[in-house]
Amino acid sequence: MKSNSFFYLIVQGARNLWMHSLMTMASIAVLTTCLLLVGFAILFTINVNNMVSHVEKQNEVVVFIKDGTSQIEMEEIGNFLKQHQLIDKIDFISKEKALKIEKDRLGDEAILLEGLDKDNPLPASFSIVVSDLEEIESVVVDIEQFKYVEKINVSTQVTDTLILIRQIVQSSGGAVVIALLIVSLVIIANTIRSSVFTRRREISIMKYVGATNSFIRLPFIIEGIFMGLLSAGIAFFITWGGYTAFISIVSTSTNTWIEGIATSLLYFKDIMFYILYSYIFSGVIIGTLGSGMSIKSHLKV
Amino acid sequence: MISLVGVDLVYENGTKALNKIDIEISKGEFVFIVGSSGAGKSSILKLLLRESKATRGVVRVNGFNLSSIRSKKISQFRRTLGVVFQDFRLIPTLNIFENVAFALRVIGEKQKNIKQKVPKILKELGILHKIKAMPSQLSGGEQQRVALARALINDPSIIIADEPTGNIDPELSEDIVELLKKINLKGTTVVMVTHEHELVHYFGGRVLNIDKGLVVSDSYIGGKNEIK
Repeated sequence: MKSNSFFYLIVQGARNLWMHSLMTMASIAVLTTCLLLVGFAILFTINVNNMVSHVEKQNEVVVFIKDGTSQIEMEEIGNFLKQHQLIDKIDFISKEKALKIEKDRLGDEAILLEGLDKDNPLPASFSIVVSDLEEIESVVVDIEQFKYVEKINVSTQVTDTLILIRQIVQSSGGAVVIALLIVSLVIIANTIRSSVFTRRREISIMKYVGATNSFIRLPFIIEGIFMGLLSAGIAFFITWGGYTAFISIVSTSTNTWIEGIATSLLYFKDIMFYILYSYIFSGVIIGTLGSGMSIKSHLKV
Repeated sequence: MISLVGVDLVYENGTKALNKIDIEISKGEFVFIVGSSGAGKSSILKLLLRESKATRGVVRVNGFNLSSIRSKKISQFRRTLGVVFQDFRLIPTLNIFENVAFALRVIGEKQKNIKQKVPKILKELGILHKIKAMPSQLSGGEQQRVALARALINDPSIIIADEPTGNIDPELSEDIVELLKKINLKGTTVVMVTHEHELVHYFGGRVLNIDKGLVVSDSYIGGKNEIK
């Protein structure tokens, strides 16, 4: 296609949006609604993921060390844990500190532990946080190789539950977003199809004067891209306003359960570009494919 | 130039529109195709425009074998033709200049050339004064002249006119055929489908009579204002 034809078609595409303003508005309204649904699914997925990650960071593995372990051996395992790529946080609890923690926990009943200072039965330990719950088992295997490790406390039930939640959200979230995108594509293709139908005469004239299919298709594709971009912009600002208002409402709630959720919700500024790019990408793809699909049947003249 | 040999056309619904048609039209001829409704006139035009593909036989137009032409080549083929329809088929949202320029834009003509060629052809057809008007502001005769300008702008070797006088006043019909006659005298082949026998007898020339999908006569008739 020659460059003068290309620029002419871009102008025609933009002009058609204005000439068929009612259909343009209808298409943009439908596409914006579809993008908002997609955006809601994305926000839900990333926030649930964030909540799981938040809880994940609270998950603690305790490595108990055998009594009689030398200082050098203690440093050896300490260094190993510090350098381990899957360990985010490490805290050493000496025998003395362990006794103090236990006394603090017992409070008035701490008297039961009196006399144990000289012959402290509580072991020294390392409290660690593993960065990825799914890797806990491999970290445990790594630590178990040290012969002076007495015992490793891992709450596998909590771990498995968290892994399950994350897997469900990740897989269903992705599937929901894809399903919504497909539904959006079908809806927008039908909306644009009615717009194309009113212009079928124009298309047939193009065919009779020798226009190629790409020459006919391009203005419609450009219209689709413009509509996608406009819808993405509108959807983005609605999401911005709506999400910010939602965060503000849940953060001021007095309900402890809601308050707990609010603390792990992401701020809009942290995800705004992710949302914007998702909208632009989805809007442009849906608009382009919708236009392309709608015009296809009218090209057989 | 135009050749149909042993052509059958059967539509998808089973209707047999044309039956073993043989037609030869040479360069520079002016041919009327006449016949009653449903006789097969439009089916012949559909074949010549490659809107339909012959079920059997060979259709050749301007050196293109339309029975075996690839889809991608159809647009290239159509650029060698000029087509005029009964209902003008102007784009209602474009002014007269843009409607005519459209046929040039399709082939990627430069804006500079478009600005030269469009007023020239509109002047030849006597509608230059309407260059900025919209199609809805023109009479039927004027709209058909614009359609003719669009058909001629690319210097086609064949003009195919499908009932070009069907939607205009009888007194203006003669003007349109006169224009086609002038175009033909410059060497352009003209194929005109019509059911207006008075017009055919007025101008005379080669007349193909179609009935029930068959060419029932192919003859020259004399007219008051004979074309050839």
